[in-house]
Amino acid sequence: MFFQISMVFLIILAWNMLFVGFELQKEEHYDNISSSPMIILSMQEETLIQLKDNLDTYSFIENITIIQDSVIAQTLIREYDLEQNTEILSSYILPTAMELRFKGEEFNELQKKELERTLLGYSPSVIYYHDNASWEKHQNKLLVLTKGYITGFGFCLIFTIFISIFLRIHFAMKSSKFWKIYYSAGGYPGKRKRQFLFNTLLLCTIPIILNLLAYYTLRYFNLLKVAIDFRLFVLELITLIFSYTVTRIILRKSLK
Amino acid sequence: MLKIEGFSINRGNEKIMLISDMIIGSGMRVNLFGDNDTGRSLFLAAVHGEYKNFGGNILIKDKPLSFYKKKKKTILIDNNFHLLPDETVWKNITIPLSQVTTRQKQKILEFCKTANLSDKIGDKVKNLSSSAMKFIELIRAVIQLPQIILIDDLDNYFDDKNLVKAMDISNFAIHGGTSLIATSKRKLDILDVHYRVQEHRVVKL
Repeated sequence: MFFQISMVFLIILAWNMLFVGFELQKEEHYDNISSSPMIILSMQEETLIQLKDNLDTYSFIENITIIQDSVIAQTLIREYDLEQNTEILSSYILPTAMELRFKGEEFNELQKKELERTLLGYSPSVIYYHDNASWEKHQNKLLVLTKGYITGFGFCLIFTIFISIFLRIHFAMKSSKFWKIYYSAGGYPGKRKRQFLFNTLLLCTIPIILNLLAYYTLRYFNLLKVAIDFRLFVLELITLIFSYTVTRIILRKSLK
Repeated sequence: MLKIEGFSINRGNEKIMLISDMIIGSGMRVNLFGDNDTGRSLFLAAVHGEYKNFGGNILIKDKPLSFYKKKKKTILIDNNFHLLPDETVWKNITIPLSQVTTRQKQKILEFCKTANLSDKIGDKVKNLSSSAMKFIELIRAVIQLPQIILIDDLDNYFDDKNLVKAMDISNFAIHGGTSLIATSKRKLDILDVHYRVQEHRVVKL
């Protein structure tokens, strides 16, 4: 029983770690997308203010900052040590800039196209710069990561079902002789069925409870940054219940 | 305790055992003896509820066998050994007990002493003689105080000396109201009531 509980616990742990790994890598890509802003330039500050009002409605934009021409001029003077050329610089008309930062998890292809459509409406009075190559690279990696996760998830699901059924049947067969002797020795009728049910209860709950304990302990001590979707634990529980229901059907004759 | 009416066992068209009427009360020790192939083992299996292809009625405490489907009523000690060979004598005796009470423990030790198993209680069963193995099965049955203990071919495993010991052990259950039905090839005088199978009929002596 201890061996079965340990095995199921480890499989469920691996399943949860797959989720954590996926979430961590996803977060990294989202952070990279978020850290790459879009810069919009326009000679008319009013146009940018108007555009800002329009873009404020988009949920995938994390924040919008308008950088006025004077600020740009000061930045250029400070960055490039141009104090003695202040007058020359002030003779140029500098554009006002607007910086858009995105929510990595929401800024995907559909949202990008929508944003580009909106910006096209303000063309040619605004021009924008965005590192498209980097964005595409991260989107592709996210796609591959998601496909990998779905495959891994499916594998974990099937593996959990297979192993839990296999182990249960193996140990049930192994204990058949004991039960045969138990009954012929005058043991309580139906004891095996009850024992099976009790063991099922332990096998379904203990591995999940141990995983929950491990998870909440790591979270409590801030050792785990990613929050596991609680539905995953529910799904794991349902998977185990399903496996043991199938096992019960397979073993229906032996358990009599 | 046990009431049998119009009982018959058939093999093809031939009736191999007929019991018109048999009543066995609580605490009775009954011996059913006869030659081979007279249906003695099938009779015990029928009372135990394992063999169903018989005619007539078997009632235990006025209830049919189907009533006891999920209740322990009889323990059958047949010709096979129902033991875990790699387990100890103690483990094999206590298999059906959910927990061993102090009194049960005391009684088991007492019975083991009677059966000369005291020094072998921690030994693996596979190293014991057939007679010792049957003693283990008998002690295991007796300690549970069932309504009826059924023993097939009692004289196969116990010589006269061991038979006395077996009866000593059985007396614990007998005094508790358990009935004992043992089959044998010859009449066992140590038992109280005797039935003989002769010409397919079971006759009380």
